[in-house]
Amino acid sequence: MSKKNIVLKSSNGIIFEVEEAVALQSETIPYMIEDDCANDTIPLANVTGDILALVIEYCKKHVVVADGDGGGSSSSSQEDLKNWDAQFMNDLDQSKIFNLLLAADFLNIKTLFDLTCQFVADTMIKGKSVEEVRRTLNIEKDYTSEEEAKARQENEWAFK
Amino acid sequence: METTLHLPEVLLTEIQARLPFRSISKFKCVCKTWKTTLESLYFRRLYLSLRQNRGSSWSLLCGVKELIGETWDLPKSLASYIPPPFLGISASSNGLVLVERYSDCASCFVGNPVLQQWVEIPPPPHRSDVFGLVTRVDPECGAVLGFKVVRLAAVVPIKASPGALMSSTYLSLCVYSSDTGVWTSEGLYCPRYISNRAAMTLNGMIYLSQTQPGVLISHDFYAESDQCSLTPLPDPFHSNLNERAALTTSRGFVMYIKTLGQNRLKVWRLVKDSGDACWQLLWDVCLPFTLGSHAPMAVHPFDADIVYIWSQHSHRLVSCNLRTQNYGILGAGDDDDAHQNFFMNHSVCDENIDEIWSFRSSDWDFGPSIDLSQFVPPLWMDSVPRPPQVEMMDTTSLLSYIKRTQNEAG
Repeated sequence: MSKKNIVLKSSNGIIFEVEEAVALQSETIPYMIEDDCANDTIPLANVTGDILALVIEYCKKHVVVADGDGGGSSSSSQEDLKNWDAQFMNDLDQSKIFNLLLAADFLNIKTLFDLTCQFVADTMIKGKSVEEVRRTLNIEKDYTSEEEAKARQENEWAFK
Repeated sequence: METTLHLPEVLLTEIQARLPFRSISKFKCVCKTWKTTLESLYFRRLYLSLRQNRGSSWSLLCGVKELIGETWDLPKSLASYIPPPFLGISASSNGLVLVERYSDCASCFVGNPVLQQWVEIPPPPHRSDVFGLVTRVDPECGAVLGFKVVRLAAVVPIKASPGALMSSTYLSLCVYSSDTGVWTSEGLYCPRYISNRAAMTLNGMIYLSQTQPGVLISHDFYAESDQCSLTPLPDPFHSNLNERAALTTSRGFVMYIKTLGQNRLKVWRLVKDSGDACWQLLWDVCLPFTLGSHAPMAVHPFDADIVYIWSQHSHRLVSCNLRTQNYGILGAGDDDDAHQNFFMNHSVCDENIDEIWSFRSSDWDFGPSIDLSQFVPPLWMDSVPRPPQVEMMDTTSLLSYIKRTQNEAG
């Protein structure tokens, strides 16, 4: 039984050849194949090579092994995957994380999208001060001091 | 060399919706755009859809005492949000609690202890005891639109004919509605004799139970009726089978749990089937251990597959996940990640559960335990409904208000 491979090309022209099952975790890629976007190579104009490499690393780890004895993952391998995910995200800097999120959204990979969103929520926002969040996400404060005091008063419970 | 990459707003919203509710409230202070987004109906729906299968804070109470619970993103347990001089949570529904200073206190307060919003409830027209707190909920978005404080003034047994057995009951009630801001006297007929007044509430409903034969008595305080409804309990009690049962709630359903013999556990859920309430059997399992002397406590409020059983024999709390068949002793100090939010007041459990079950020497005579109550704030907490002409107070002003009125009185 030979496995079908799919060729992906990043925005900066880097070529990746992956097994079909790996690529099909993206819900966008099948449309590109059907649309016959390219005969053998699928160009991903929104994703750079370094980010595409990360996406593929993630998809390879998460590919469901269909052959073998009936499939279905045991709870220990679920646990392993969770640990792997945590490590995978921890190794990335902020710019990579944001680009990975954009790629997961564009390629429509649900689990990677959830993972990156949750990671950003947990590590960059939750538990931070209002000031820190503004700085991290480069948000300008548009409240007047009175307005800010009012918003703060309305939500005082959440600061304790 | 952090880049200042701007995320598209739709992705930022996806991230925000994965924050705990407390952070969402806090970060309304970031900027006007965030406040508008975080207060939108779209955001509320997205948050709820993502949060549906995750946990949130809850507490299981015996009277005003907290037995077990989970904290999640709150810094402390729910009951510790109730400041002295209040006794604790006298009644609760959908995140609202009723607190009193003395059990016969003339006035009481209803509020959300986490959001720190309180409204004063004037003294009831008659001497009465708290029967329950019920709420009216928006069926679309789950927002709490109003509440009623229900107090029990008298329970009058009625005989069908002189010399006959007590066959029905008239309940004389005082009801305060947040919609009107006034107390009214209401009468409620129950076509059964009520001997056990322990009650639990779920949204607008109050539930009682009686035995011989076992029946669940219910009344919807937002329906136009002065009659209680009866639903037979699913399994008749057998005095010789060492049966113990409890009524509780989980994910908006009334749940009935029952243990039989050495290790059998059955769990039902009360569902509405074309208008009629009926019991749906969810689990009928043999546990892989012997129960010994025990008491079924509750179902996890957010996961109907988890049942808590108190072992009176070993003074331990056993958590039974019937889906994963994971059985564990909680509060033993070696809790895994799955229970990191969990807390237990061991001595309170020990004393109170023994007390509840000690006088039930013949359990089938008393029927299911309804003595434990859950305090389960909704995943999304709205402001406390404010009755007309009533001021909303935060916890600090509530406490100084009490001090002031106390000084004036004394």
